[in-house]
Amino acid sequence: MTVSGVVALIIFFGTILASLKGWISQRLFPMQVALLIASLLIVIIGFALGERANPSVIITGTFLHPITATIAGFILAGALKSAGAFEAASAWIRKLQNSYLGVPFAVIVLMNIPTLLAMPCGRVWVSPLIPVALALSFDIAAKTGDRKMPVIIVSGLVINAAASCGPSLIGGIGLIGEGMGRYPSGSFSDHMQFAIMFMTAFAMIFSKYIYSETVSERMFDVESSEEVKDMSEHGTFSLLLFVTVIVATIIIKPAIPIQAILLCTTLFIMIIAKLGLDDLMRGIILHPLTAMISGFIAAGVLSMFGGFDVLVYLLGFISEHTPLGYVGVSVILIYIPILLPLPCGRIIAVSLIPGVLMFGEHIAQMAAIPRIQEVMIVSFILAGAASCGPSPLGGIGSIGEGRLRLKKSTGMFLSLSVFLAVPVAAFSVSAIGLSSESFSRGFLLEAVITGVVTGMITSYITTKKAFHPGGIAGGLVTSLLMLVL
Amino acid sequence: MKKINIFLFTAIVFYLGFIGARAFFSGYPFSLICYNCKSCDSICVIGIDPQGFMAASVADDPDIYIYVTNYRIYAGEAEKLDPDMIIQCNDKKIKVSAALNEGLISRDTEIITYKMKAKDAAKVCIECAACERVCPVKLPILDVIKGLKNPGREKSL
Repeated sequence: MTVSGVVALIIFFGTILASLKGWISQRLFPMQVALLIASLLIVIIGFALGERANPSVIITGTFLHPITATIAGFILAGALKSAGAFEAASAWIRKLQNSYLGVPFAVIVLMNIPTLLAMPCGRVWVSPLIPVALALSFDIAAKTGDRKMPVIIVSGLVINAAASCGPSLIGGIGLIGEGMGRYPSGSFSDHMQFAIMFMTAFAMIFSKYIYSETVSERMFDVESSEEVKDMSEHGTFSLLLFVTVIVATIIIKPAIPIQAILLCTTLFIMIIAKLGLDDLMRGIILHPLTAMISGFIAAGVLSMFGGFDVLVYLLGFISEHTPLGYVGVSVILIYIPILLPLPCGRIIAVSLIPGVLMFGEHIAQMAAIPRIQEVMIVSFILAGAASCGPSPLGGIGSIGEGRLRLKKSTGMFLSLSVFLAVPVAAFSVSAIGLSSESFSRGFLLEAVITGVVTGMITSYITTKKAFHPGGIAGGLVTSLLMLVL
Repeated sequence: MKKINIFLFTAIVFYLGFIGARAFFSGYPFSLICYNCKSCDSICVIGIDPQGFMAASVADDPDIYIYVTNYRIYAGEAEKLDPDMIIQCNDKKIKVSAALNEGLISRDTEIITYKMKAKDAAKVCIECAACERVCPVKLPILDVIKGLKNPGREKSL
């Protein structure tokens, strides 16, 4: 443990807390600027304390994958919007709403799409799906009079997308844990997917009953006054192409980066719908991108001066010298990603997974229960993957807040939903164990329970009827498909 | 204040471009594609984290430390190779030089490594290509490893 590491950790935590609490005015210093200044301060103090540092650590700590996935997602979303794909999606969802299955079916399937077709970064899904979620939620709000519906549905979608990089089999965060812990490839996936369905349901409950803000009257007026456009051929084709490409990517798992696949799809849509570059640019939002990069820089500086080593040391010290012990500290360790929500779960995952494995092994030996290590690593990775949802540093939640023009952060209740969903994954691993085989009796039972319970929650929130056939059918279809895909 | 903010926001965008440029200068621009998923990590028999080679390419720096968690070497040899190499010793992760100075091990002790420089890790790689086979985007990781092993190529990294 070094002095510079302690100083770095204090400055880093202090900056995040001060920005969140508004002690640092966002008008004077936006979060990105505050983080860069904090990084500079850490570097100056580190050098003043005589530390040797290698700037390459900052570069290697900047994971380009989520950044480029976000940009590709934004560009594709711009193309889909210009081609009229969202109008086509909204029209289909309206038809579904008016069918026997009704609103709950449409809502639960839409919100769980990111985890069902899990991409290596949830941002790929958020950009194209938020406009569809907005159209659906304003429609339901107009019919039911529940003005919180846009916040409820967008929050569910956002946390689902944020956590979806955990179970993704094409380069998700779960693979980092499986790789470092040497567990079978894909063995974390199903446990996390079912827990994310619960996480989504929890986010819906909290946004309805705890979060006080609704979208502004002005936004309601704007959305309500928007004309319902007819489905264009280009729009329908673009939407079908997009869904087909994503499903094919999940099933075939081609050795092509997802960013390249998304850009090729964009190019194809551009040619078909005769779009220009301006049409693509309208989908790009710079704030989450710059926040993510500044978050990576700050985390890289923290790592360069041993901030994460200090964190692991402190946890070890607390476990040996306080009544919390190893078990108490393990619980804290699992939840560190949501206590320190960074723009991408990969930062904390790569930095702390060795520590989690070490703690897990220690407790497993003490309790003579080898499965404890598996429970800890899956729980930690789920918390890490979902932590970009509530992150104020350009997390996925900020995209949702921006689209809904919310003034109050949704971070607290999103964190709470992650907090409650992590034990679901822990229980699942402890009961079923880790295996890359999805079709076991345990998983089937879990899929049915998850589908029915989350379906009932969705039905109750959207229609005030817990036993709506559409909600339960939607939940079951989603959870059983998760076993297949 | 506005000017400072604009300057820093621009710096963030340039930083992204700078990383891309570094990867191109290293001669391995494909390293930008790496998903950081660590699928390769679980397959390596000597515990090398091949994603570290990709990171070394992106940073254009063969001296960054990467995980090598299952390689046995005599402490004296390890010290000669890199005194800052991190080893596993009595459940602790410690620099080999520090472990020797504290008398925890002698130069004849066979130790297990934990983290070593990318260029040193490349030298212990047996080139079985298992990492390439499991990579979801089939990155040619061995090209980087061979480049790091070859002193001429290493200079350009």
